[in-house]
Amino acid sequence: MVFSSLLFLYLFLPACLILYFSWKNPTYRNTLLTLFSIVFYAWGEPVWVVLLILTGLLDYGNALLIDKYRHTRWKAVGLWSSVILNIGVLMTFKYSGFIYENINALLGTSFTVPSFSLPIGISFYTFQTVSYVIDVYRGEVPAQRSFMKFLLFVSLFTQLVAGPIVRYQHIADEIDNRKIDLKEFAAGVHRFCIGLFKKVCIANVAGEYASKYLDADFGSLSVGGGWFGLLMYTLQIYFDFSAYSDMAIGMGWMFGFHFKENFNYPYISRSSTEFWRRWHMSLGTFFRDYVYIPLGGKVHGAFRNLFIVWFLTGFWHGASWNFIIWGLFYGMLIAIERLFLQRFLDAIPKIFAHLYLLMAVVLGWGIFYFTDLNRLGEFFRLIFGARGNAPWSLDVTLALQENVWWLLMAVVLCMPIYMWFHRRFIEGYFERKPALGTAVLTLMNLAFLFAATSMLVGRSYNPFLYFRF
Amino acid sequence: MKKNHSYIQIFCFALPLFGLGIASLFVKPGGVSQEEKRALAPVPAYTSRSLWSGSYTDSLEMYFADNFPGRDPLIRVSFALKNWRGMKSEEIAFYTPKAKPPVPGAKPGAAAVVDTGDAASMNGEVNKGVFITEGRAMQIFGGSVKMGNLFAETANKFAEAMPAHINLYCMIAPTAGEFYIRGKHRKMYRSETENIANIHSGLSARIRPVDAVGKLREHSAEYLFFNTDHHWTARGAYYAYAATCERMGITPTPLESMPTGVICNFLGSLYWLTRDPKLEKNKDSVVYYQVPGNYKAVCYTAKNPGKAMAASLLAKMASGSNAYSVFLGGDYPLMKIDNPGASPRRLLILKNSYGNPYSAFFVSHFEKTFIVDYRYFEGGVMKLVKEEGITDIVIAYGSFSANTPWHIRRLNHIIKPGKPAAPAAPAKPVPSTPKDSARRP
Repeated sequence: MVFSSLLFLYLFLPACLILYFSWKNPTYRNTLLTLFSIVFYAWGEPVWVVLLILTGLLDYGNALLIDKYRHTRWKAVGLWSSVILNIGVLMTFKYSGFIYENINALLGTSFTVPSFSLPIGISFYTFQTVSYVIDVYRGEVPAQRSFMKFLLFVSLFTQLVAGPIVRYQHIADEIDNRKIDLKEFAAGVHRFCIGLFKKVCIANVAGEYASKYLDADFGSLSVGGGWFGLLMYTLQIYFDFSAYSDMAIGMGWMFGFHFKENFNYPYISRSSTEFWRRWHMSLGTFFRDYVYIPLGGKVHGAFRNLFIVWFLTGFWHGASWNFIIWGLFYGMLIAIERLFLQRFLDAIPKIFAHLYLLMAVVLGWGIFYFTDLNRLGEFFRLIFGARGNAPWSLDVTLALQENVWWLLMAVVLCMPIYMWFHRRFIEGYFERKPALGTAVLTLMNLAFLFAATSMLVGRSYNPFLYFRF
Repeated sequence: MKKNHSYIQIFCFALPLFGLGIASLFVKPGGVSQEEKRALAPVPAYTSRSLWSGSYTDSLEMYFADNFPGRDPLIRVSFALKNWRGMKSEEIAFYTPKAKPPVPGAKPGAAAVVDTGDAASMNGEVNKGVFITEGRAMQIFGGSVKMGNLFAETANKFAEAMPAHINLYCMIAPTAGEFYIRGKHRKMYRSETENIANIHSGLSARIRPVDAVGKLREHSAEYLFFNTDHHWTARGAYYAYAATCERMGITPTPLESMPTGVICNFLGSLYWLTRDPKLEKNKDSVVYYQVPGNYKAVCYTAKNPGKAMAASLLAKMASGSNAYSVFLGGDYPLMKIDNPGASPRRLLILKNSYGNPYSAFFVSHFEKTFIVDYRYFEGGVMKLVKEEGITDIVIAYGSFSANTPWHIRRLNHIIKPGKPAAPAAPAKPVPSTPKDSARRP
């Protein structure tokens, strides 16, 4: 199930909310949330929900082992068995096909390539459980005694399939004691509606254009069409990811959880280093705290550590060479910025630094999109005019013209306009004029919900008109 | 902000969520969308296999979206939002085709006017989108020499299988784009005239080609094609009929001699596909002609192919988005028309929906006319030819279908049905909302 589906919005979420708030008992509430989370996951992965529960059970047990035998060698056994288990699960389900394919290609062997279907959200929940076990090992948090509560942390539907990667230590207290504040619930509703609007009305629209142009036959695609597709993908991927985080954070507030921010207007950055401080922050901090710093950080082998982290970051995003290239592309940019470019970027007018970053990011998404390396190469030749394609085409003009207001809105929303609105109005003017504030926010919520609902219903519109006779 | 203000915000969010959620439980499932001409998703049947494979939950989501309360008004809102995204050109618009498989569980050919069984046409992307200019929507032709050759070869094989005494004709109908996509926009259009000429050149001596394109071009200033629908008008079909008559050596009934009727305010398939406001301002009129003669028509449905049912060449009650079904009353696998006063020849026409107004004109010239919709007919043409003493056969295809593999294969299949005609419809249902649109780890 996804948040941006009618079934989730109009059946799952209302049912969960009404049952959740029908009884204040914390054990009831935790049990209910866990059950709903399991149903949410099983909806899309009826088989692999077993894997989620089993790996959760082993991580839960390992953390208890570490906690109990903190001063013995069992502590390390608990840690490593969890790390190996989670990496093993990831390797099996996500990377085994890739590894076999490359071995076959490299050695000329013909091993049967396994074809597991990738369990949804596996990259997120394995990282959450690994971080939990490491934190218990480091003594930063006590192990959770209740398996049900631990399962709630692992499977909580608000962030299970699309992040953010939640650290146990950040919500450990809230699993046991959380307070529902009306004002915060209302803020959660608002945040959820914003996320829903971003996902359905911006990301999905951009996605349709992105796939239309990026999946097109390169023989007939114009250079302008290639760039337009890339721009659309750049918008899609930001609004899609950040929308899910908004909805996760918003629903978290409704249920009394507080997740950390995951996106902070990354496209306004002026360097790759800054971009990655603003983009998918929970992933960046995971790699910083659990890979980069333990490897020696900036102190021992800074550049080696940097490239290891960026290799892994790329690889985490998908089992294909283009993701590794994409990760190393950022590793290289950040290394160059550290060496000298950052000083130059700080010295030049800001607009040029923004342009540098935007160009790097847009090209980066080009690498990210194409898992087929031949097609990736052809696409880059196309957009730089090396394939001799037509520079422009009528359909691009029409697409730009027919989406000009939407495009303007999407670009503006990439900038911290809403932060300004929040500071100036929600925290300022509306505090003094609460009735007006309530009216404005309520209307905004309803408009976002209404627009998203109509577009979700519109997606099921499927004229079948013996169209090709 | 005060407590009661938060309550208001929460209440206003919860009200539509709970209200529509509860209402959705009471919506009568299934039914047919007249605008989309398809059956809405029925309640999926539960099996443990479908549950474990995930297809049951996918189908439930599709069912929920298809039967959502207030679906039609919400769809209108979504199109309005789409139109507000930017500036619509007053002159032109371009829509990319959106290929989606049919709703799972919908039964093909369940009703004559609700054509849900043609998903197989997706096998072969001859349609390159819809182009709107001067208030007229037209499909962009993408047929190829290769496909044209395949059609000609298949038609030749069909001819070889037919008894030698039968006169065979091939009429390929062009579409509006061939005549009305002009000037700088023409370069995106592959020539239907050239494609049809190539097909004609590939036909064996047994088959006499009919130059419908030439005849229609002579009259291209007339109302030959609908503005909002992918079909031609009865007038357009008449000129193709006249060209066929020339080939057959018979005199066509003069158009002016036939009494007419009209169904106004027709918004056809291309409007419903694009919902472009330019088309809304340019509604069509479906003019039909009463063919002279004392004939008796029966039809056979896909559901009950053995039972003859009374039929009419004109279903004058047709209205709204179904107005085109005035011609023959829709798409039946087989129609038989007896006209005892006519010459003792017997005609078989193999057609799709394009052929509905076209076929009707012939009944006054033949003692018996058999109209077969090759998409649904499973009775066997050879059997029909022998049992009914057919003397003439017209293979009446549209240019798009003559370039679409599934449609081409059907011509072979219907000679002696038995083996499946390599249906191209994907079996797996597609959820109404994508599980994940962006690349996600």
